[in-house]
Amino acid sequence: MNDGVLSVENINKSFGGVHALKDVSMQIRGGEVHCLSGENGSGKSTLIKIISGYYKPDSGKICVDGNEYREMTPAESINHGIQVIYQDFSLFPNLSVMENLSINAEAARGSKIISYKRMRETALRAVEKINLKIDMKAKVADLSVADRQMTAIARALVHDAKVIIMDEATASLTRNEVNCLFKVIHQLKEEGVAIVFVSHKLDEVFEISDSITIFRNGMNVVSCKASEINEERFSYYMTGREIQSTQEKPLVGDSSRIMLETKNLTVEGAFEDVSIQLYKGEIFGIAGQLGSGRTELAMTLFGMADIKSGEILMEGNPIKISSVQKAKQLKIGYVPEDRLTEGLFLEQALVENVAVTHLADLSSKAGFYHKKEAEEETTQWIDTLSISPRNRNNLAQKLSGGNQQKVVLAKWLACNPSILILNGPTVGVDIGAKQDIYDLLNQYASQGMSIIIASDDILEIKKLCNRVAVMKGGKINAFLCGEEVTEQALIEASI
Amino acid sequence: MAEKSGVYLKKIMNDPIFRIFILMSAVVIFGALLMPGKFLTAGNMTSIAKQLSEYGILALAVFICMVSGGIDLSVVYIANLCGIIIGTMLSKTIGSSDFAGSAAWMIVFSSAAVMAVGCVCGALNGILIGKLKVPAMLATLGSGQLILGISTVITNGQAITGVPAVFTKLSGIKFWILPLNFQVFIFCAVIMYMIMSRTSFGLRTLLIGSNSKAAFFSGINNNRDLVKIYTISGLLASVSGIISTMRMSSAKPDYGTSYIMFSILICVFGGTSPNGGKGNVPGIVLAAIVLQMVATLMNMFQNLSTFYRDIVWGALLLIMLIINYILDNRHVTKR
Amino acid sequence: MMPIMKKILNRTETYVILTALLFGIAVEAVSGQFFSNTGMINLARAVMVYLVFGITEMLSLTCAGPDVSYPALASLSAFITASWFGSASYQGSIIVPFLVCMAIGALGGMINGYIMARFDFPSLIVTLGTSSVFSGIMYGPLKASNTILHGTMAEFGSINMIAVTNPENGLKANLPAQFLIVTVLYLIVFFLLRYTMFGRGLYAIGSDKAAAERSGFKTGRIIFLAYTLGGTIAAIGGFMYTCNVGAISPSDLMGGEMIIIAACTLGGIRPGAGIGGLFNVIIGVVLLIMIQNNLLMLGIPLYFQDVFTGAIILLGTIVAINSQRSRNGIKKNG
Repeated sequence: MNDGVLSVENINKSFGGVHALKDVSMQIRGGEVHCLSGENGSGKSTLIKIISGYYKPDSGKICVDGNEYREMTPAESINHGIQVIYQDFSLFPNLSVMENLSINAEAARGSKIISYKRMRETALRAVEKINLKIDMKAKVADLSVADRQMTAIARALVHDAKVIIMDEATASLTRNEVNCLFKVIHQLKEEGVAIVFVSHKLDEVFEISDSITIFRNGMNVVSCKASEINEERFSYYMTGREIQSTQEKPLVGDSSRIMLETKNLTVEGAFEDVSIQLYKGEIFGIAGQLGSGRTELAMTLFGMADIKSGEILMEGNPIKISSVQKAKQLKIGYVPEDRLTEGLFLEQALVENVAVTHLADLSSKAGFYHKKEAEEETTQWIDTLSISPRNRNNLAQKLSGGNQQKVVLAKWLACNPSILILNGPTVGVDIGAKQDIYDLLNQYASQGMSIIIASDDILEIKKLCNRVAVMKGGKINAFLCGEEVTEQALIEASI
Repeated sequence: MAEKSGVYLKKIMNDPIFRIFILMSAVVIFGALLMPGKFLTAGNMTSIAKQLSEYGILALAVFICMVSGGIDLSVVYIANLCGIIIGTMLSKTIGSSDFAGSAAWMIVFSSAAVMAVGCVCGALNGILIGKLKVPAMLATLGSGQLILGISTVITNGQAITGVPAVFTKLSGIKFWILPLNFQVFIFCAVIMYMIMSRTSFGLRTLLIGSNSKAAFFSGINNNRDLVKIYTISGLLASVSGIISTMRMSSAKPDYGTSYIMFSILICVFGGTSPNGGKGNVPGIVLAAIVLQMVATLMNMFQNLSTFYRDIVWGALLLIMLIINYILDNRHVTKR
Repeated sequence: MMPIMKKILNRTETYVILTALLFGIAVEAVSGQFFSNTGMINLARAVMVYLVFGITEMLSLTCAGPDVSYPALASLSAFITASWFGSASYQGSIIVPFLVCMAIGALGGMINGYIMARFDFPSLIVTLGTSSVFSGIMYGPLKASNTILHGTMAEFGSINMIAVTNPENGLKANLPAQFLIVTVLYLIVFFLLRYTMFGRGLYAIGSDKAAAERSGFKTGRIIFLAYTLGGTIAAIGGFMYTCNVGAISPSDLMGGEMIIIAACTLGGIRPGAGIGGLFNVIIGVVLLIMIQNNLLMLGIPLYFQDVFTGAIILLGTIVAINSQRSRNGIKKNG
């Protein structure tokens, strides 16, 4: 029946009225990298949480180690050698590295008393496996993001894991670290460990996986060997529709009109001596891995930083973007990196989510809010951006990632900005919506909007941007323009 | 057909105002049955209306802070301070023998002065919570103590007496059958309703409570709005203090410290989420009426000491929280 | 040398201790009594009960948020115990009433614990509710009122551990044997926090509840235990206080939650974030009580003391919260 290390059969799971997993089966074999892909809301996260014991399925069974389970507890899951590395690492910032590394193991043992000696041994074994040099006593809150990621990975390796599930684990890694990670994965494969690699980054998926499973709408639509599928079929299964990958060249802006310019801009602890220029009607790229300063630069241009030295000019006039309100006045908009915590009001309807940035425009002078206007406006944006489902009274939390991102986009487009800054515009967004967003950005740029994209997605930058500044370690490492913007050059400049 | 009415029923049950309405009807029926001839009288209703005004206004104060994701534990102390100040002012002017001016203007002037004090106290809270980033609970707990201290200094720990009769008689004025106090409460409620449901400021308050980070990223000036929110709270507290002094013709620094729990109860009962981002004014008004009815009903049982009330309120608060939770959060079934 | 200095200067605890020392020096300068043996013993005596309540509050603050129900619970437990065992007719061992009081506290704590574990409500509001219930029970059906203690319980309160006499002015000061209980409690809780899954789990939950669950912690059980333990300890505090005073005054302890919460925050505990431990409780309580009790000594008139205390609490809270400055120029929240 199953020669795999872990398999699930006929799993069903619903939350209230939403049927998240429909009769899902999947087999995971030891010594193999199995990639699990799917759009947001396709059910892959839910399945992972069921396998790890955090949720219990409505029906179906989980088979691991030859045992069948109707449902599992997290402790049981860990004891069977199932380890999950979550995207947010699930570390405890207020505890030390050593405690974080060994805490899973201790909790799963069910022991009431802690032996610090035992914890230290566990922790040391973990970091040895991936050759990680780190201060055991340091509090995780003080670590860099990359160190945290490595700690999370090391923690998963502690327990002599049989199955390691990496849930979008590479989201915050630099190229170097991804390579390191893949080396570790190869090593684990050789030891017979089964790896489930959840990702939607095509290049990584095809680089590392042996077999691929794709979920769509809560169902397993295809499970096959990696060699049996190509990029187009992959996109097709993910979205259910054929994606035209447009081969258009990125827009070239009007170099005679410099909308925004920074000269030797420095922000304490974030970046220094940054000088860039944004032309009218172009999409300017700020590339760079995590920690390069690109996010901080984007935020600074939106009024969220204290500038230590240097200046910012708008159409030649020096300005001080001292606050978010000031940035809005200057007709600058900002689509943040993390839409769930920074961009959306999940428990409010789409109407409020779109209206929030320009409530003054939707209100009378006395302050009375014209709800009808806001509602009509939202309906228009739903149409323009093809947001689905089309109900403007839906709560934001009910939408898929791509649609949510469109809502965030809508709220800023509604302000009619002359400059729009987007940080990680398509993170966690499915392929279909990605293309929609790219088309939109191109459309607005060609109509005269000046756009800045800060992203670590090389393909995205290459597709959209004619001029790119690549940041590394808080400084601009390279300027690329036109033909110079290649994947190779972008990668090299950001490492 | 059955399915459709099932969906309709679900929709109704989900509406917090409707839930309270049902509860209110239940209490009225219950009261009429238990105390025939005594509960449903005009006199009783008037008494209920008079008493609930003070709580109700304080509840409105706590309400706006809760919706913004915070809370104001200092409202009672602000109310007391304001009551003390107006009582002192009036007794020293109108109450003194050589007062030659218009009593009415004095009352108006003192009320305005005291409301200004309430605003200042509220603004202080707003700055602590907004600019200085102190969590609302700690900030208002601390400021409450500070204000209590100031009141104690002003009164030397005693209660204020000698409030002129011309002032206290005002609480007896009735328009139709409803006393002045109640009118003030309804007036405040209407204003709050307009603010919360009809202005962009009200919507901003809701959004700050829903996700203050996203509000900041969307260009909302959280700090400025928080100052306004808590200033309104302080203002409402001062009004409550004024009518309280009017009714009792005295004021002291630590009067009514149990009111804060009652105000929170009214808010939760009225469908306000303690985490912010959810709540409406009609719910508060209805909740205040219902709870005051329950209190009055309990009072009618002679052998039930007032402390049983505390048990009921505490238990009711917990039960309401749980009921709201169950009815609102049926979508996640983890284990 | 430098990195250690920097680390020390970065901690809130350093400033608290410094402030305490400075204050002590100021009082000493005025009265000459502060650092004397009687002065120290009196301080220890004054902070005793607060230290116990501080543990209860700290447990709640670490994993969830503030707890305002423990004064009512402590009073209730002490009252019930005293009504049964506080008369002259009870001459048995002190252990029995002690355990009974603990049991009542545990029961009350379980109510808090169950609700907090099962639902995701803010601890402030839940404990406001239970506080009302506890005090209602005490004053209502039980008709609590002031009564003098007799018998074993009264004797217990008067056992002294250390008795000192100030050589300069002949004043005496006593440290009750109950201080031993406080020490034992702190040792037990310290062990629990440091060396058991319960303790580490408490911090993990405070940090990130969902992550703690995913790591295999039984979060519901841990929260339930934390509040049960808290209730038990609060009851112990109430018991100690009652015996000490030699009488039951139900209303004495009420309203004391403010001081304790402030003390914990001043001492460096961040509510609901899993930061701060027993040491923070101790220094916070000592500082605050020291200030409160010595304002008179410094010439602040009685009626101004509330203002002063309130202001200091606010100031201290502001400083404590803002001491975690971000290390770069980016303002993520205005």
